[in-house]
Amino acid sequence: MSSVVFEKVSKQYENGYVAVKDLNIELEDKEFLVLVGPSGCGKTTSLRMLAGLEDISSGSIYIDGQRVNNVTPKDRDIAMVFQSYALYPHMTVADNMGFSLDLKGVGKQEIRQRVEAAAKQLGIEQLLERKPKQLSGGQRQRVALGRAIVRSPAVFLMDEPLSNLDAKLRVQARAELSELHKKVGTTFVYVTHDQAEAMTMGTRIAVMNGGILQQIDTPQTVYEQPNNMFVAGFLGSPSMNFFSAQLIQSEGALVIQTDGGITVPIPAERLNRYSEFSGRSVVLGIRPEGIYHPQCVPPGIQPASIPATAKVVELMGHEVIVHFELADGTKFIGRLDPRVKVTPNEQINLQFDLTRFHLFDQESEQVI
Amino acid sequence: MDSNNVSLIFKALLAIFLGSFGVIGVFYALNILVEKAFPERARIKVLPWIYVGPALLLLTVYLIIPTLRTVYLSLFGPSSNEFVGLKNYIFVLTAPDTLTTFRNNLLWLVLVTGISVFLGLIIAVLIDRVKYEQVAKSLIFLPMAISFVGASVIWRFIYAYRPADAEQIGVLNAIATGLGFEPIGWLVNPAINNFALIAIMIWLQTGFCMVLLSSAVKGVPADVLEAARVDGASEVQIFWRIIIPMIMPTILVVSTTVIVLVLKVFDIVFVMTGGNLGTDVIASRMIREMFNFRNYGRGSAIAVILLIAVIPVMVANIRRFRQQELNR
Amino acid sequence: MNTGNSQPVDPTVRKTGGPQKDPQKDPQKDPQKDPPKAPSKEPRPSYVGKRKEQSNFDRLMAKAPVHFAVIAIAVLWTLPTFGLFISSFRPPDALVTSGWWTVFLNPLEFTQFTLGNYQEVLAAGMGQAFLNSLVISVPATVIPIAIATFAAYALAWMDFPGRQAIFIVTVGLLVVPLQMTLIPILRAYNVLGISSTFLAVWLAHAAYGLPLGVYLLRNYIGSLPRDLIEAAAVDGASYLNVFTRIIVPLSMPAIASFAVFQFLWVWNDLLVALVYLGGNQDVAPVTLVLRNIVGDRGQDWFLLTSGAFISMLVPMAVFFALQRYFVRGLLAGSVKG
Repeated sequence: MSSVVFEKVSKQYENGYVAVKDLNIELEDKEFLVLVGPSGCGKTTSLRMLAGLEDISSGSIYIDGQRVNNVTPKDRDIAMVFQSYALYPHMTVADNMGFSLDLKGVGKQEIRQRVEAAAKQLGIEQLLERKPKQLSGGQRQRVALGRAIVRSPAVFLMDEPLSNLDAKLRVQARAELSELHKKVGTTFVYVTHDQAEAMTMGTRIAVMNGGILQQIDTPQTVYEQPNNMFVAGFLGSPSMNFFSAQLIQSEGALVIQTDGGITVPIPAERLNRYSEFSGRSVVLGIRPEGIYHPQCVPPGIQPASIPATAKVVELMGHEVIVHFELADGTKFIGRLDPRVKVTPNEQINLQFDLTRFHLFDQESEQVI
Repeated sequence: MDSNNVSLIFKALLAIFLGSFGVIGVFYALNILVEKAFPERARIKVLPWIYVGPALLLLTVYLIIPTLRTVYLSLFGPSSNEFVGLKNYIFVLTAPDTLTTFRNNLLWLVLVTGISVFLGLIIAVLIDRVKYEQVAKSLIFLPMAISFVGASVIWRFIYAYRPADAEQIGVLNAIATGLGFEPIGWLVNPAINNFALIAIMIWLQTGFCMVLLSSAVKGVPADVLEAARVDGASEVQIFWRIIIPMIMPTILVVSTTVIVLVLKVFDIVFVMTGGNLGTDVIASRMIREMFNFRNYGRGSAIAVILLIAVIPVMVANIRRFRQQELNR
Repeated sequence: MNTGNSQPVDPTVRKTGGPQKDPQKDPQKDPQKDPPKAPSKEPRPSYVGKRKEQSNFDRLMAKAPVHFAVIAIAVLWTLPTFGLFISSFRPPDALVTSGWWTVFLNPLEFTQFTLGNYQEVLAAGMGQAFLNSLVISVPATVIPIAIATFAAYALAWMDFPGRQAIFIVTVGLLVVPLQMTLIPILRAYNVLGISSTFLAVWLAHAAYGLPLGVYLLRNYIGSLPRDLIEAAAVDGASYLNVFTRIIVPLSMPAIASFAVFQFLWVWNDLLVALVYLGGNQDVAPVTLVLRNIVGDRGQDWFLLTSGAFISMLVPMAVFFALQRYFVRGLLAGSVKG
């Protein structure tokens, strides 16, 4: 069992800056938690507090039920992969991987065995005698992983370990990391700003912003049922379109009327949920993939017609990203089927999918 | 080799070993002590002081306290018994021969700094254009490795004087007589002996200036120079209007370094002329006050004047350092 | 950002206001094989509108003044040392009756050279002095290196009250003339009875070298990537482990440059030896003995020349072998006073 618990953890720096505020997370054994958020959101600070590299201003962190606030990094039974990999440049790969065991006083023979086993697992046996300088970026990343694996720690910490790889390698490494997680079967805590990494690897993801945990749940839930506008806007690319609007009664029905003058009826199954908010200022959120070209409307959605002008058309091959403008100048983005041709300045009667929209309170930015 | 020599060499090795590894042993012992005696948390508080402690101790005992003490001693008489107030300073700042000392130091300051830096800059720019750059650099830089005493011997040989009827063994006088002049007493003639000594220092320091300035010149990005060329600047204009302004920080650093060094120049004068014949400078004068005249009060006062002279450099250094820290 | 492979940024570069390349990085390297520098060495015929073809001869002629100036200066700068070198092998009589350049009248006449001067000067105390210089210089180099490296590590990476203040004081002490300290320390030594001992000069040299060492090393060590030190902490390293296994190996370039600097400085020093060793010939280093020869037997050129050359032997060897470290130290430590 290697559970990790953050209990009301806060971090305030000497200059008064609050990096993390009241963080509560409970991690079961063998979870793969991804901490995700924009830079400066407190995700790395949280990880570093867990590693013991940063003091905890208030609250407690528990690893395996033991409070570790005052335990030094070396006694926490953790391994960490750094963004820069932090390979010791003066040591060979084998020495890098065996360093922690050597410090622990493990015998040379055993170190060698464990290093070789880990190297085999990662496919870097042939690199063991090289220095980090002689390795490619992808190889270095594996060595950094290997250094962590060798220790068989209770918790694996990773701080943006893939951000220095090129796009192609990153996709490959993502899959390998997920596989590794299954194989070693320990708890992973992974920090990234890349939502694709978060969505693909995490068993749960924790979205942070401004030092505050916004939402923690499975990737799918966080994507489909965001708690607030930040989470909704952060995950997904291109990000969700927001229209400020009013929730009003019109001709006896509850409708959303955007500031741009578009009126969207509330579907029947959501009437109960929203009726109490009648008369409130809200924000309508709809993802680009919830917008359809009239010629390509799939079955099973509830279309609402919205006329808009296509301004910029970006052909991506597998999809078309179109920047639209409403009559009042409001801009939004749609992700359309590449089979229909859209030309700039074309007027299109777009179909918004009303089974997949989100409403947020304009003031609190929380979902309603 | 007889046994006496062997034992001498053995003793020397032993002394080297003890002196070198003793200090490292001390650190290890202290570290073990701390690891044993303190719990983990307290260790973090104590260890830094173990590591900086010896440095702090040496700096305090050898630099800070003596400096303050010297300031204090400068207010006392020859053997530091009776308080004399500013009398030592008044004497030092008014007596004709100490005034000569200051005049000489000023001469050294202006000539050594000016010529070394200027020459170093010229050489740095020229040397960048030849293929045997490294060899030429090493040769010009080599005097940096030679002690002031060694350099003094070398130059005594250059300045050697023989009566007009004898064959000259010094290069300069050989040239002088070869051209039909009388041999010149380079180190004796009060009109030129200071310049003769200053030349030695220039010989020693130009390489230093050249190396630093050369690395600065090479640090000027090639695209800036290319941009200037495309803009129609001539090589001379590029030198004055691009290179010089861009390496100005280095020029300043080099100049201040040479200034501080020259202020303290001692060995050359001490070995070549012993400070006689109007060649005394502040630092050699101080040693003479200490050892020849046994006047510790005046010696201290001269040292304090030296300190005051370097304070601007000190302030500039600290400021520059702070700037650096801010930019980190 | 791939700190995994890159050496730490050379902190020396920052200080001097912008030198990007170390000119002496590799003295052995053939400059022709050094592509980055090549463009600056080409004559630049690419003026817009003024372009004209230049023959090789024209090009050579255009650069002739440069070659002439560089060679002239290099020769001028080498000549004094070279003259001393030749002279040190000439018999005492010849030395005082004719200039050293006269040997080139019959350059193949090897009888005009002798090793006798060296034998004489070694017997006159130079041999002992040479040993003494070694005994003084090696520990006086090792001691401040050890002390400065530990202190630099603490100042760069450990958190304790006053560390910034300590470092600023160190920067200030860089230029304090050591003349300021002579009288009080000499008196203290006399009271303690350790003047004229090796210990006295070791400690004095160590202390005088410390500001530079701490300054240089702290800047270098402070520029090592933080990740490396944290990775070591996570890997289970204690502070001493981090120091011996990470900091010291990675700081070798800076340590080496400080070592060269300090060694040359101590070996070439006259003032500290003169004041703290007094007239004790048993412990006098080469500089002091040479100075005494100048003072007492100034007309014995055969002793002076050979003695001076012996005193220059070690520093010149160090200089040629470790020139690039020396330069790096200079670039970083050019604020030393």
